[in-house]
Amino acid sequence: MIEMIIVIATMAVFGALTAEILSNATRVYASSLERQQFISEARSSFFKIARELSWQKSFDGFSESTNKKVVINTEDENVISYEMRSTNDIINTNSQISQINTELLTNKINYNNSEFSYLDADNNPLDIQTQSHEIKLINLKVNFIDGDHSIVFNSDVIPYGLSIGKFMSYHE
Amino acid sequence: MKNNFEGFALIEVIIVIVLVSGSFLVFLEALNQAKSIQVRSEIVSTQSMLLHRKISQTRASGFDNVLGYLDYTSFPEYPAYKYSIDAVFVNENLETVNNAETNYKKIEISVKHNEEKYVPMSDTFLMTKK
Repeated sequence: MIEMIIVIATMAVFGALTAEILSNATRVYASSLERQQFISEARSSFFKIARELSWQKSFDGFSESTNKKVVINTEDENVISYEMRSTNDIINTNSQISQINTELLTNKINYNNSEFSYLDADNNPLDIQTQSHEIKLINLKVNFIDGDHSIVFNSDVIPYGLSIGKFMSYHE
Repeated sequence: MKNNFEGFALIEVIIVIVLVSGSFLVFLEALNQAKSIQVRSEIVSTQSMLLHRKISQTRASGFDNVLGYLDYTSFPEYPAYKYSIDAVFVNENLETVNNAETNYKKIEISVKHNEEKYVPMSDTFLMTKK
């Protein structure tokens, strides 16, 4: 009788611990997968913008750009733009695509903490309206946010067309 | 009438608990590895972004402003990461030239996480005098 009670009590304690461990482990695993998916999406969106920012051919391309929108005039006469909207998303317009040329790149950003800035060679910020011809670097800062997940990607991009001259085949 | 059902003996329960605990350890280790991979992936993404940033900044600063070795220095906005820059003059065959200036510099930039278990990420490129 005593042995049976001990067995029942042991099984109860062990069962409760097991359930708790499994529950926590599943939660951690699910959260880990969510985070990985979030980072992947943020990374691909960020590097797509960074890569295409380097295609800017001339300073005139900046005439329509702001701290929330950048317009890229490419060597092959196409126009690409990225706009951060107050609805916490980024839309991408690309004239290379003839039909539906505007698409939602991501809807997981914090608008207030995301921006384009335009810098000189010493990393000093420039006024895009009056000093666009002095731009050496474009700073891209995007705060991606999705529920509890948040990450800030902040990088500088050098527009090859401005600093090197003619766009060559080996440029990105 | 004899009752043949005697239930589980304590020793049997203990053996089962030990076996199940062992299998849990394997399960938890697998979960731990999944978490580690996710953290590593995030760190590599940030390293890649910071390396890209530092390469752009170095290129923008101009040929004459990049020379010598800068030991690992923290990024102000990302204190968990450090970068180093090693710039040397090279000739047209990309051989290092120590005692003279040439029109080419080979720049190596490396970005690492403060925790040594993560592998540094580096890139090498050339800058030419205009």
